[in-house]
Formats: sequence, structure tokens, C-alpha cells
Amino acid sequence: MRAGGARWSLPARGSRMADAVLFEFLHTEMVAELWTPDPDPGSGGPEMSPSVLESVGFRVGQALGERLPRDIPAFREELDVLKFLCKDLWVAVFQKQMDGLRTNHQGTYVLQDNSFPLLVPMASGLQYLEEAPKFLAFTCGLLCGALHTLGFQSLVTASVAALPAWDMIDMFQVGFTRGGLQRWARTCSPPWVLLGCRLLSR
Amino acid sequence: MVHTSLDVVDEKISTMGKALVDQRELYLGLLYPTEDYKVYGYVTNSKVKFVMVVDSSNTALRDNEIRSMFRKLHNSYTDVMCNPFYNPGDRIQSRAFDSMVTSMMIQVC
Repeated sequence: MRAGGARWSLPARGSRMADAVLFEFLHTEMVAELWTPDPDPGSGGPEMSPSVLESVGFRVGQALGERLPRDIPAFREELDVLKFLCKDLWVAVFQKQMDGLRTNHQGTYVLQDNSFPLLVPMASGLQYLEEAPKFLAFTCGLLCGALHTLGFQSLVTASVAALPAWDMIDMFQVGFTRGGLQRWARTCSPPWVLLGCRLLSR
Repeated sequence: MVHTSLDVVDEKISTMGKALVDQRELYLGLLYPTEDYKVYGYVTNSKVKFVMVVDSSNTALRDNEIRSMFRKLHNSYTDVMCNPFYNPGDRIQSRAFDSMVTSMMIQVC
């Protein structure tokens, strides 16, 4: 961002390298500072109350959802919006595109990222699996916020199978538990991270 | 009048969606002319609608100028959205936004 109130625009590719590292450090500190574990462990699964991290991500997502599509032609349908998320939003925030997008054409979308940049610095494999969800809360909020600006109510949940990959799923069923998500996850070929994103309404 | 023009905007959006023409313009053009005023519309990807009402006696305004004015409006609105002190949905109180709008109106009159 240039100082002095000048128009903000995406800088040239070379100068973005420092941005990624700075964002990574900031995110790490945010997680350390703001993560509050779910006070009721029996509440059952990813339908948890939004944490502070998710709210921060939500607000950022709203702003990005306003700024990034500015020069893109109007979105015609849901799939355009999801493609925008996978390509433009992901490239803007993580300097890479989402690795896979699947849908059941009924409001359920699976987005797959095989090497999520915020998890790559952690050990690959299953060693830090329990810690991974903390690092996904902000991103969940980000996606939720961007979708909200673009007119969709959604529910985003995350699950990690093996670092550093993750998936995003829009789940249509209510009350999808973490256990169920991981069971579903194991049927897919690893490594990936599951991020559940349910499009509720427009 | 602005409210009726919003209905026209919605109508245009819905017809655009159904038409198979690859018309992905954000700028909706002249919505409808009345005796005293012309109304122009613009819709962003986030479904935010900008409506501009112009005095009909001001015939010097060309399409390109209207487009550029909407462009500036969109850019300023994006800046307001990115302001962390602004809550989406609140009334816009940004002085920068107000001054941009005022300068644009002065330019036209």
C-alpha cells in the first residue's frame, strides 16, 4: 500500500514477495494472540461460534470482495463467483490459485488446496494436525466475507487431512460434525485440507 | 424518483441475466428519461447500485463522462469499504468520499 492516500493497486509481481512473508508473520502473530478455543468441547463440530479470527477475516473478505472484482465483468452465476474466489481472490492473498474446484450444482462446492501457504511452514504430514484449524480460521472468515459482499450467505468450515493441503466444501446438510467431515475426507486421496463452505442463500 | 429508478435497475439486471448476449457491462446506461431529469444507473459485482440523477437542461454531458463519473464513484466507494473504521451498511461519513462527490458535481454544473 502506498502512503499518502494514493490509489491502491496490486503492485508488480516482484514487489509482492515481501507482502507474502509479512502477511505470514502477521497471521502467525494474530493466531497466537487472538485464538480462543471453543469453550464447550461437546458442542460437536465445525458449526462453532465465530471466533475473533474469523470475524477479522470476514471484514477483510468484505473489503477484498469489493475491491478485487472492480475491473471484472459482471458475475452471471454462482460458478463465476466461485471461480473468482479460486483464481483472483486466492492469487491476491496467497499468490497461487486454488488447486481444485468441484461442485454438486446444488450450493455445495469443494475447493482443494494441496499446499496452503499458511500451513507450508509447519511440518508436512500428520504431526501438527491439531494445530492446523487455528491457522484456517482467518481464511474461513475471509471466504465468508468475500461471499457475503458478493451476495451469498455461506457457512465455511475447515478440516485438515494432512498438512499442508486443504479443501473447501460447501456442505448442504445441517450439523455436519467434524468427525463426519474427516471420515468423508479419508475417502478422498490425500494430502488435502477440507474447508467447508455452505452457500445458504443469496 | 430514485426509488422508481431502482426498480428499473432491477429489471435491467434480470433481463441482462436472461439474455444470451455476452453483455457484462457494469454500466447500465440511461435508465429512463423524464421531463426534468435523466437517470443513469451502474451496478457493481457486489450488487451495489449507483443511481445518478441529472438535470435535463444540462445537455453537455456525454456518455463517456457519465461512465467516468461512475468509475470514480465506484473507486471511492471501494476505498470507503476498505477503511477498517467503516462498518459495511452504515451511512458513509468519509470526508474523502464527500469531497470527491462534491468536486464531481461542481465539475458538471
